[in-house]
Amino acid sequence: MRYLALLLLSGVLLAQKPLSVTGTVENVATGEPVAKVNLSLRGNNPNPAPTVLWATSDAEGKFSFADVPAGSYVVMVEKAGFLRIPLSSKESKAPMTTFTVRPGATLDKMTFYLQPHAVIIGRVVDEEGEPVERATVQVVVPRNGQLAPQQGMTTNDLGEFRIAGLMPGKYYLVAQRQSMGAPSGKLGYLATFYPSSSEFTGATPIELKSGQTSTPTQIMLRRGSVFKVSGRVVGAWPRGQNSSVSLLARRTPGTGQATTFRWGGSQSALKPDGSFEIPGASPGDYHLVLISFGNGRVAELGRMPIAVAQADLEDITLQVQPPLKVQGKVRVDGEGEAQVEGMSISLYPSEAGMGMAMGQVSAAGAFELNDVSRLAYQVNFRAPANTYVKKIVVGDKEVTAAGLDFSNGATEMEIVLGTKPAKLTGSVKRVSENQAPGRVILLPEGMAFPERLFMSLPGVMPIAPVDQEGSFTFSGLPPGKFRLLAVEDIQFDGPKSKETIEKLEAKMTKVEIAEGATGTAALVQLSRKELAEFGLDLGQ
Amino acid sequence: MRPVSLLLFCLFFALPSGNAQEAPKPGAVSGRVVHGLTGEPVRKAVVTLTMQRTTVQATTGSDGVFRVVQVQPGEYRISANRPGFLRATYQSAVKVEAGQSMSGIEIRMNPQSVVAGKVVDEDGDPVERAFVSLISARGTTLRRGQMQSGATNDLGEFRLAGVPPGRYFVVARREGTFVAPGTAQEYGYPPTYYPSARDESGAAPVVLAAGQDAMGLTIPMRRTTMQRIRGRVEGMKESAGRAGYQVVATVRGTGNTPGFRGGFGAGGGRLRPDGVFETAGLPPGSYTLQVMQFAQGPPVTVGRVNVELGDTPLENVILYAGTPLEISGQIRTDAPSQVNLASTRISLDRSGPAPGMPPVTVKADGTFAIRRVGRDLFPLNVIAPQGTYVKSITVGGQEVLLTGLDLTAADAVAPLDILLGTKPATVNGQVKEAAAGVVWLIGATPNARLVAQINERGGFSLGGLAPGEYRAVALETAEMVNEMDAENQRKVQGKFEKVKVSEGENVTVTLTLVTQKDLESAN
Repeated sequence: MRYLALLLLSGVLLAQKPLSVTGTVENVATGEPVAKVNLSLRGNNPNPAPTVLWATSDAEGKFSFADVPAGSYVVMVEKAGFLRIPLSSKESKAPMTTFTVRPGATLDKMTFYLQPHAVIIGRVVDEEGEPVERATVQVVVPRNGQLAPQQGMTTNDLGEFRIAGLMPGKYYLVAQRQSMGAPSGKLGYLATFYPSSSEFTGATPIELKSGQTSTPTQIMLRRGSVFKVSGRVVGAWPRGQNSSVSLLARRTPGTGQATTFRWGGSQSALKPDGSFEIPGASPGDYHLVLISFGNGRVAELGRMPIAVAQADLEDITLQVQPPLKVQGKVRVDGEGEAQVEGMSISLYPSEAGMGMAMGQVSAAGAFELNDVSRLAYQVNFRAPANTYVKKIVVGDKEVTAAGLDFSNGATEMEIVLGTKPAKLTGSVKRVSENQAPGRVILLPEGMAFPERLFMSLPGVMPIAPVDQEGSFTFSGLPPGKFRLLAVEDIQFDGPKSKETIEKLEAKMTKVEIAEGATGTAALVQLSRKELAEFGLDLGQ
Repeated sequence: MRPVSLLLFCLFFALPSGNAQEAPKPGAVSGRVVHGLTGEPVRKAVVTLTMQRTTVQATTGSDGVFRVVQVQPGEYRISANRPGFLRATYQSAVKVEAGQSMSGIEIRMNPQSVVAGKVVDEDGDPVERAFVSLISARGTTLRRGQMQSGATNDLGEFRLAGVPPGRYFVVARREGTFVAPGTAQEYGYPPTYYPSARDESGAAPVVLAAGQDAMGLTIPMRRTTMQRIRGRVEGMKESAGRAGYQVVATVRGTGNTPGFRGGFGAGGGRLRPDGVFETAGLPPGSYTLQVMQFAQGPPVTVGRVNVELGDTPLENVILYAGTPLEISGQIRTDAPSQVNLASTRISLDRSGPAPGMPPVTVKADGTFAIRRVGRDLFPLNVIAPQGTYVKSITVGGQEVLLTGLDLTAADAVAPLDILLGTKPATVNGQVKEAAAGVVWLIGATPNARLVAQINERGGFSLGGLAPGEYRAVALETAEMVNEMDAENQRKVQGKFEKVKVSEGENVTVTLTLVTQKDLESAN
């Protein structure tokens, strides 16, 4: 059944029987086979559910997947001491993206190169050098003017931490211990960068090679003045449910540079009389957010920007904004049938936030999104086969490219699907055989390089993997002008400097496609080396 | 305990209704934190005063002294935390009046124990992300509970800190199934008890005295072939929405070992619309399959069947899903009385780790109804109003006070008849050379945690008792109640006093204190 569905979806009708994929797993550092690796192949077919196949390597590192339907796959490995994604070749440091199983072809003697992970070990101490238990330690990298958290953990009773599973690269460490009961204006623990700075400018990076375990690091927590944020919630909130008021870190507008790192962790349970009191807030810009938990759902019921400076913030009035119930519609505009029933539509807050809304489309094309807060959202869904997203309307505003905004209280949204999707296929040329196949990025003409690539085109994944033969495909596209860029590696989630963006944009290939047409493009890949020269930090 | 927390709750509500302009003058609480075994001061301990959701904190200095200021009037619980020590609670709640300074609070902190080691597979390779937990191996009337737990790191290592003294089973679990190279056979790792057993019967408990550690334990997990159970659920209500059902497999016969959630492939546990289910791969053994219905509130078991899984997949298992049951009942007293029947607390705490049911509301006339009760085994937990005790609980003339309710085969339940005795007995007395601690009374009633505080003059009183025979023992700390398993009880059996009370009787006993040292020394 699944097999059939895959064939229909990918439009490959030549396959007569399933194939097998066999090969070995090898430690890229030593060249030795790796036994007892759990491998999974995840099909790139979207609906109804991706095919997932499992295998385990034997003592000689050999593995075998039987009955693999034709299609393209992503491979994941699971083995203590190694990264989850294998490298695409012995020479390239780029992770393997995808490979294609073509009808009639056999894939044997494949080699997956496992990369030993890097590990940071250390401990967190207070100003007297004593261990700090239950401190949160986070590995962060500067990205896009923010500090993006990678992996983290909590220290044990000896103040120790061990953060494994890291790619080779340059990392920063930041630790924090919530000082819950610190009286206002007194000293509390601040988020502290390794080795002992509350500001990012005083942070020392840790560089790790593949397979390297750091020398023991020690983070000495800094103390600084912390303040109390208190006030009252005004309006109707659901009394029967647990509610809390939290501080979420707010980006300082205009700077574009990461300076400090704050957890939004500080919070206060809402008291029955509607008052709240958050102790231990370190100076900075926050959103004060009212969150309610009930029936397994999390809803945001109000937010306001605040800035904690050198004093307690008292008597804050946080207005309850009842969440919206949004009635949605998926309309098919065009000839032909489209299977809209069962489509899953989800909304994610564009900025820091807890509330997420999700709905399923009925046979009549209707969906309902509960607990939508008055915020800007990104929408995520997959357009059904043989359709594309024509436009998205919220209230009476078209927001197809801009993102969804419910701050004005709109309670209706419509997704209009066209029935003649365009397609883009092509080939990617690598300058050297040693380069990894990489990925292709697709951007609509006129759209600036977005902060989060995967959000740039609703209904479409704007990043396509390049398979081992150098081909790529984007389907479900609207008609229009696009720009394409083939890159060997994409660790970045959007470049940071204007100069870098200009360099990248100059390398893009333009394509125009009509409704229902198939466009083609021949691209030349930007290698990791070139990307690094452009100023993108790819690690290693 | 419960009446106290209720009182606190009322107090909390009463506070903000006062005149907001004239905030009461805050008080202060000071005292000292000392090592429970050596009596030495404990520095850098964080002392927390808690009243409902209000907390105030202070840290001890090098002399162990703390002073909490800016304390709003009210009744607080006091606790102390410090890495390397167990969380300690001050013996009683402390009432702080407006503007008052309280001093002389001494909190004794006992050192923690640590259990640490490594989980390896059949080849001695480290097992990453194994879930290691401690299960208390005490065998008294108290329910077995899972204590500390944690996952192994990439080297297979685990470290469980903050463990109180006691006897523990250490069990390692590893999620998921794997495919044997070159075949389609699934295998996996069943839970493994230290040193290397499939269940508690072959396990060696780790015994920890206060402050004692157990380091360097190695738990070898052995792979076993896994089989799936497939079948169909019949009788599901269309109206309830079939997405609201789930099949759960639980290991039977070896205590509370949590089972595996069924479902298609990994993760998902929903039934197919036609009622067909398939569990994940399970090691051979005895299982209970339950159909759970998820709607408002906690999940309810609406059908169950016991199965044996061998070396081949189990096919065509049929499960019948019924509707949740409704239990009505009546609370009476054995003699005319002014007792407030509505203050009776009734709960059907599920046997097992599933979350409890919402509280049952009893009307003034003593009638009550419990909705959405699963087809399961339930202990009956009834807390009688002040001045009464639970004399009997019957269903259709059958006494269920001690046995609990077995609804696994029920289609309907006869009304529950709860009889309260109006002449409870009291045990009071004196503990020699004691000014703190608790007296624990062990009776025949299940779930009864009959514990009374020893006051500063060594006296205690425990009322609301059903007539019968009890064994009484005085313990140095409240935490020691949890350590009194069969073995520890035997160690200090000379200090137990037998007490027999008849209806309404008031009996006085004299007890000798059992100290923490008594439990450690008398081996």
